[in-house]
Amino acid sequence: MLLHQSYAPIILGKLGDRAKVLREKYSLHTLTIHPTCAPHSTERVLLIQSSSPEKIVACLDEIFTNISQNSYNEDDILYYDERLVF
Amino acid sequence: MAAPNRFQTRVSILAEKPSLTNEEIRLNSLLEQAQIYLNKVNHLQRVTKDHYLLQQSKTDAWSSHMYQKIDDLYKLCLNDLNQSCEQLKIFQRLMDSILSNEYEHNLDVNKLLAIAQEIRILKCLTYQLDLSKVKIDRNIKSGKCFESDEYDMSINDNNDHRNQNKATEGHSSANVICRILVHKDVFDEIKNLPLFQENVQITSDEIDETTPERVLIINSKYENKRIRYKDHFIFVLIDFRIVFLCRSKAFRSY
Repeated sequence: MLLHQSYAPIILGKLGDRAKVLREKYSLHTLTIHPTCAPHSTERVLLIQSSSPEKIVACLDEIFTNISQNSYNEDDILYYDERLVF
Repeated sequence: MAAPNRFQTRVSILAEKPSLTNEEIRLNSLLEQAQIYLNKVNHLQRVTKDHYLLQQSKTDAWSSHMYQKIDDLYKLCLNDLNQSCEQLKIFQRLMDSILSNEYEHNLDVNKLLAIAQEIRILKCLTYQLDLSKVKIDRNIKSGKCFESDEYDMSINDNNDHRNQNKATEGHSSANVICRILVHKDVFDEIKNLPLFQENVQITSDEIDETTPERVLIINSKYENKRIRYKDHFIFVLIDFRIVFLCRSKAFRSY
């Protein structure tokens, strides 16, 4: 998924502690956010991998509940457009 | 310093003899020369000492003059700084009285003129306030202009902050949009599904075939008071999970 870069610290937490909690809670193989933004954008890729799609969706539900309580500067939004890169 | 008397006595004794030997003449001559050189050394010593004393007195005079000058400059700077400080305090008291007066929130022409006059005085001072470091603690909200050239200004109070926070909260929950990055192959397999047609938008219909990925945006057209956007796209994802499960190979390779 593509998310605004300001959400990365909310999802990962300090030293990745929140991400670790989510991985253990939903038995995920992977939950990472790419360290850099997608080209020409302020969005970063959130990668979640699991053998169970239901657990991925449940994890996403919790993530979106957390990040919807925070806002970011609207002027800073630059959506990733795949046409500009390839 | 050599004693001249011993040499003078010796010379006078030798001069009293009627006939002198060659050695005595030579000795006499040497003694005279020694006397001359001694006098010269003494003279140079006196001259050097006088010169040193003169230089020393000049240096002392110069240093006390410098001390006095520095002292005067210090007093002048201190005076100017005190004056600037006093003027700033007057300006601060004026601004406090104008802006803090709870019965008078309006700035009329007279008050603005008073402020302008104080600012003019501040600009004439030797030491002036560094405006780049000045911070105004309150928000002043401009009001309407009157026909008689009076300008009505009022102070923004805390109520506006509460309203601003509410606006921010409302804005944040609408900001979160579900954007999924998928491989082109996955996109090609699901783009014709009714589920996709109803719930998903893409960046553009005109995308080069060589572009290996697509951005899918879960739309918010079903958002209403009973279903929030977040719940809506979670439902969509739940429906899509079956589709994605079938296409897991494409995901792994991506």
